[in-house]
Amino acid sequence: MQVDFLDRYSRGTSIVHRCDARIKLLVALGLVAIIVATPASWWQLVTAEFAIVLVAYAAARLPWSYLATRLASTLPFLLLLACGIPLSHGLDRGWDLAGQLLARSLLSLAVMITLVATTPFGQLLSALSRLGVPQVFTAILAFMYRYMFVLVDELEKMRRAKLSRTFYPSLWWELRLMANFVGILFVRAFERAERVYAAMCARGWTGRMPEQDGDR
Amino acid sequence: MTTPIIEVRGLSFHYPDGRTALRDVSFRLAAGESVGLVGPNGAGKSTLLQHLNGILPGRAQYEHHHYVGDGHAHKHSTEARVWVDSLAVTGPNLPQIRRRVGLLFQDPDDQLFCPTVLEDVMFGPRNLGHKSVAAREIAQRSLAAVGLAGYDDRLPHHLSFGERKRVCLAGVLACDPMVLALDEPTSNLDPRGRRQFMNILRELPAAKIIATHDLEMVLELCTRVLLLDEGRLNADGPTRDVLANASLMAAHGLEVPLSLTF
Repeated sequence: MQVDFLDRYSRGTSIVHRCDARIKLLVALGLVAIIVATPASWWQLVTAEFAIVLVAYAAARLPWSYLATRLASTLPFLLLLACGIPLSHGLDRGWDLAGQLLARSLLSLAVMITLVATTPFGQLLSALSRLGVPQVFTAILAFMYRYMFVLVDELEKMRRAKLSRTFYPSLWWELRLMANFVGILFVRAFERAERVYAAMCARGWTGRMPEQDGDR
Repeated sequence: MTTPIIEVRGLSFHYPDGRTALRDVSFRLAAGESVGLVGPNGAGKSTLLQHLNGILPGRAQYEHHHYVGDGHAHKHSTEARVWVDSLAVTGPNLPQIRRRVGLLFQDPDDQLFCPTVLEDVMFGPRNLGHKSVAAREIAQRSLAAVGLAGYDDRLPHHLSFGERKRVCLAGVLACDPMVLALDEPTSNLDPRGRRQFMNILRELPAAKIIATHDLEMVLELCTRVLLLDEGRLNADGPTRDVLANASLMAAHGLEVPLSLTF
């Protein structure tokens, strides 16, 4: 299984990789806030933002194809949203707004992609908790990160089991199977959650982690 | 007999859907003793292990209806049926119970829920109230004990099945339990992994109750065997006497281990 599709490049050694996760996190969030808030007429600032993001990505020495595929995978959603604006104005106005929306989203995404790609997920989590994010949120993220791989694995196993017994594929059949898969995955995730909770209780879980004593 | 570390008296249990899992099970476990828990699939082995540290009966104590049977709502008695180190396994004692009984689950993915190996092994000690530094030390010692020193920052989903299983054991050992309840510790392991795991288990001073189909392992590690079938305890005796009894084994869907047939 592809177990590293999220932070494949996060163990690099570039200057961006070595930067403290908290600083990276704050800078990234700050950048996104500025990008979203910049009026389109301030073209000098917009250009500077583009330059900063590209320079940061280049400094991290990540392959450009990685950024391109990541951004491309979000395009369907973004285009759907962006096209909504001119559509609601009868197609004669709103194209500039749609362009802005697209540019802002892609730029913000590029920032976040750079952050996630240069920071191992565990470091990101501990940076979040050291910055005072409540434990509920970091714990949910940690579980998501851990079990995403298990779920992907289960889906892959089901797909293989299906393939090895599918002889005359048809679209209708495929769709029905897909619905089944989603249902089965949900039920399994639900039951696994109960077993995980039991395993946590077995090792003394009482509802919350003991207070951090600041040395992590 | 000296005070048993675990005592089970008349334990019965059915799942909320009405499926019976345990019928009137009673046995004792002495400190440091190793006992094999054998029986066919669905015999109630895992259910029994989960009673030893109070994860079950859990929610079955609430009022519930059965899917089968007459369907009237009822509640179960909350009276204790299991004692660990003379402590009744009931609500208020659970934290005490759980630090005495370490439970190793069958599927390591259920038990390894932290992003990195070290964090996962530290989970128990942290919950026991150890400071991070001390918890880290304990965790590293436990990892070394299962032959995984230096795996601290590895990610659970990058490990092999055998390694994950050993990380789980390290997580349990880090809580320093008096009793280890092991659910299928050697299933799905290759011969080397199985041997490694058995050698680790053999060295541990804690009392062990091992639910398994691996009867050769039971012969090597356990002095006594409990045979569970359809929730009932059908035999409780010295390992060789029980496992060599061909008619008893056949009656409960088991086979006499090869090493006892020659």
